[in-house]
Amino acid sequence: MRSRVFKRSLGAILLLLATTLSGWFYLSWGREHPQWAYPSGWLLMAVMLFLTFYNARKKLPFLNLLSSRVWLQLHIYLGFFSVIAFLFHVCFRWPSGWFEVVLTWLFAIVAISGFVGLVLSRDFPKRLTARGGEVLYERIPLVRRRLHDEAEALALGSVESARSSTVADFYAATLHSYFIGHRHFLLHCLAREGPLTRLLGKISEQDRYLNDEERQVMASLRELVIQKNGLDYQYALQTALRLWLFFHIPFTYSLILWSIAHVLLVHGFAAGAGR
Amino acid sequence: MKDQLPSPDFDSENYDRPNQPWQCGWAASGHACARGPDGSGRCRATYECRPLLKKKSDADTGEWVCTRPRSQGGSCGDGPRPDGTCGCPIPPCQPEPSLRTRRGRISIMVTAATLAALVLIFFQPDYGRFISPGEVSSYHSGPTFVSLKKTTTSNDNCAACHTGAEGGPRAWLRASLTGHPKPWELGKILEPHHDHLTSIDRSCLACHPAHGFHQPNVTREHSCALCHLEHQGQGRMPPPRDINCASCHNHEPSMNAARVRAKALPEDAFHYWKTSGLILPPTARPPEGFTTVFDSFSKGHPEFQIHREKLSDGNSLRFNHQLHLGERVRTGTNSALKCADCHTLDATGNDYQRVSFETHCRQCHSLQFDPGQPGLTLPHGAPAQVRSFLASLPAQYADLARRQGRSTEPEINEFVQDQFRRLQSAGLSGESLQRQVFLSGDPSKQTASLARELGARSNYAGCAYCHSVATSADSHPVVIPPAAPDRWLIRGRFNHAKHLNVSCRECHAVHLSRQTADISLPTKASCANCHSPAGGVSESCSLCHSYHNLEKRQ
Repeated sequence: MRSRVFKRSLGAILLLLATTLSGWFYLSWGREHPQWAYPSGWLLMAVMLFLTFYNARKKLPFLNLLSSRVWLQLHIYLGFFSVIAFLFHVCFRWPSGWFEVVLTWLFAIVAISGFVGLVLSRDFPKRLTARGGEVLYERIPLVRRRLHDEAEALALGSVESARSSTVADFYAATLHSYFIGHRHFLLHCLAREGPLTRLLGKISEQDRYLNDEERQVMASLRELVIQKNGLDYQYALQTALRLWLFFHIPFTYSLILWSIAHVLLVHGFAAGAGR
Repeated sequence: MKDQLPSPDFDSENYDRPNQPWQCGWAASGHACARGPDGSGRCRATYECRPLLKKKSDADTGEWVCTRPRSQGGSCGDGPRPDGTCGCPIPPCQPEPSLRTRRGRISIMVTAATLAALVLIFFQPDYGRFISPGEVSSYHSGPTFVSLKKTTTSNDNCAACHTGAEGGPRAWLRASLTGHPKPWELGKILEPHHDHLTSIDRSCLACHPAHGFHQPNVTREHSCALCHLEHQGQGRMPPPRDINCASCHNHEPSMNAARVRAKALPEDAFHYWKTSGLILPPTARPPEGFTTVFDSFSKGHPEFQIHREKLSDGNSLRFNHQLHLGERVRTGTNSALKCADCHTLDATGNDYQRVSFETHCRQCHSLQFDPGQPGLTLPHGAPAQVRSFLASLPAQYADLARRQGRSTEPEINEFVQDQFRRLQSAGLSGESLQRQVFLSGDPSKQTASLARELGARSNYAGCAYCHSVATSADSHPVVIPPAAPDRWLIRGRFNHAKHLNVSCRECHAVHLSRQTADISLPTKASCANCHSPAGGVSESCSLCHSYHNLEKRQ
């Protein structure tokens, strides 16, 4: 634990130092010299390539280049630094050219998705652990199917055992659609329990129309509803933990390509800018 | 590498392989088959088991037995078919790509789309519009510029300035790899090249040959692009920033070098001011030149030279601002004089026009040298004309008589004689009259005997009242021509129109000035009251100064 705190503190201090150093260069030299764009741009390019290489590193496990944990930490801190380096590179101006606006948006998408991913990967695992009932992501459909089958069997069984279709009707009208698929993705990510409360309220409202046997069935259904809600919670958070990469990784490649084109344009149009 | 043991609840029979590119199409509904699709995404579903033929050792035939594993429900009730095939066929599915595969596909699609977009942008004729880092200023995009510098390769005329862009995308790709500096020449990239000209600068110089002009003792070249930032939007290019000026004027070594170089230059090198017909105060170049090291206008900018060297106005005209703005001097409507009664802005609104006698002075100082005949006034402007006028005084009176309605010769002659008798009785005739007109400067002694018949407005004092009058070698009075400077701040510009919300006296303390020698110019501190961070108004160097001083160049 102490080691982790130390490493994080070290990372934060190094990030602060790099930011201070870049800021000092920018204020003392960069604002004055248009060619500031060159060193700052190349620094940014190098940082972005290093950040991109993290994904390649994950695909090349045979390369004994530091542990994945170290790579992740470097990725996070350099990711933050890349945002700072970008701001210094563009001198805190919003670009006006079409090409550079696209480049800025690509960088913004990658940076924001990365930040969102960092927040999610820091927060959601804790929430999943605190909530309990963890299920492997790939097995969630299987568990959902079991819950669905169990609930359906209970509802249909109550028709014969209780000689009443009240529970079955309620199941068909309200619970079937609930068990058949994933529900309330966004609300689960935001830790809102409103839908479950409302559904349990509806179940409670049925109580006055039920006989004793049906009440037992409904109590079992109620338990299944709670389990399904927990499963949906697992699904929502685990999906979110995977979904941000759908933005972060593809747009990273796009950003790198656009950046390479940007470098070629800058050097091509400034050709002969030197002596 | 650490050996990882499977967790106690690890289900080796139902081992999920999320890294595999395809997954069973029934997985989403919780019915994934055990075999799963192959690596190419083809369904491999056949039967739930491969029945086993059990036969006794001595028998030729046997019994087919279900081999479905326990994890999938164990042996089925019906068992295999007689021909040995499983009785529980698995319905085929449409395998679905795994999450990782989907992400990979999206990555490939986005990357391909990006490449396609780049190719489309670079290889279409209007590429300049897309790759331009911003709108070009109106100076460098207008029809005049295009007619001067039209290039054939780009619709957006990029190559007019960017020589590396000549020839289209392939050419500037080649230029990016062969130009100077090359992308991998980090040392040269980091080298500050602001002290010499670049190829783009040379494109600028093709139309702006006076690039380098500033003070002659500037010790290093400056790249045009260092101060003049293009692609910043339509309209005018933004003015140079203060840090551009401060790179030298707040840089001790640069100022020292300039000081040393100035000493080696002949005095004539600094005589580059172009007056354009303007009268400027004769201010000498300071011994150290303009090499004070300072931070900004409010922090360290030297006091204006006029105040620093306590210069005075050398104009020979005598003028008392305090008197004219006081209660004693009234206008025709009996109101006190205002600044604007004499000082009027020129067409640009930047500067004030010269004060002219005919427009601003004659109304009160009407040169009515003869109080008895206020209709007769002296000419103004040239002493010789005045002398001629006085020499032809009989003809002037005769002309006045005609203007007053006397038509016959006897009437006119009588009028002229009456006027001369009157002048002679006052002791004014011939040389005495000329001396009185030119040399007298005391209004109480001038034509005093007749003054009481007239209003103060007609009280002509004499040329010497306002002018310095000397006597030439041939005893003729000579009026020293007045020379009121048109501009007092000659090394900076000032826009009066932008300061009209401030009363004149807030900057010019003319109500305290009694002498012509007083220069009622505001001090630097007065300007810095507003033009400073505390005052909230810009103190940018370019507000007042121009680096190139083209308008002042000879």
